Amino acid sequence: MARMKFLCDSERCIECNACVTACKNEHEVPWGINRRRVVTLDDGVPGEKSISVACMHCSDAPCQAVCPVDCFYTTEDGVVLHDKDLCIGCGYCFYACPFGAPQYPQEGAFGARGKMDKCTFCAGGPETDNSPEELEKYGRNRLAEGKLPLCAEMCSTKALLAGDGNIVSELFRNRVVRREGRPEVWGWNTAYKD
Amino acid sequence: MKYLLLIISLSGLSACYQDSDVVFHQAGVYKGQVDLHNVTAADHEALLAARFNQVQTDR
Repeated sequence: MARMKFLCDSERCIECNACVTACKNEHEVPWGINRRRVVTLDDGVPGEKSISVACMHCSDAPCQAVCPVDCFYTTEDGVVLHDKDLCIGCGYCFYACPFGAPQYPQEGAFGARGKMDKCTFCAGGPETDNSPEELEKYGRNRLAEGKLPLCAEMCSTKALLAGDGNIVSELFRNRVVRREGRPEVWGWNTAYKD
Repeated sequence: MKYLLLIISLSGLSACYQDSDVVFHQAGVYKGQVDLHNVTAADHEALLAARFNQVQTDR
């Protein structure tokens, strides 16, 4: 069974933010919500590193563990999704997530959070694949169309990889061997312990 | 007056009902909509692997 994973090669990421733009455009993500962000470590210092961060679709997802209404589920592909009809916007998942993935549109008065929104690995939600309801709530379902997440597909330097963990890790391993460096698989030890 | 009282009491009672659409939470159980797909997991895996080789391999 495939287990979909993201991997960002910090040696290749040039902080162009195209993945962020592609994600927002593809899913028509509203203002104030970024399902994906590019984080730069030691910005301005020689040797700075950038990584593209979104939901890592953890094997044992902490968001899923803490959700008081159990609105999360994991697909057969290993993608962690949630049902917005069940979400109460409590924010527990935001505190549990080591990657800061869950986002809230802040609808309503008195700072009330709306339904949580996060990266879906371009797999939509529980609604019928590519239905108008799914598009409105979760964005486009590219996986159902046989495509991979747009952020990774259009990455010009191929820093961001998305796909079956075995294929992604093999590709990355070959890269590391070629450049005779040490692997820096950022986030993998946290997200994919098994 | 009697009719008025009757209408007020009936309208008050109209709020006292149980909505059958409510999802009763059970700890650790996902009770949301089931995510169904047209293709099987194995076929989907092969499809996405082919897509990966097509668009994400090193140049």
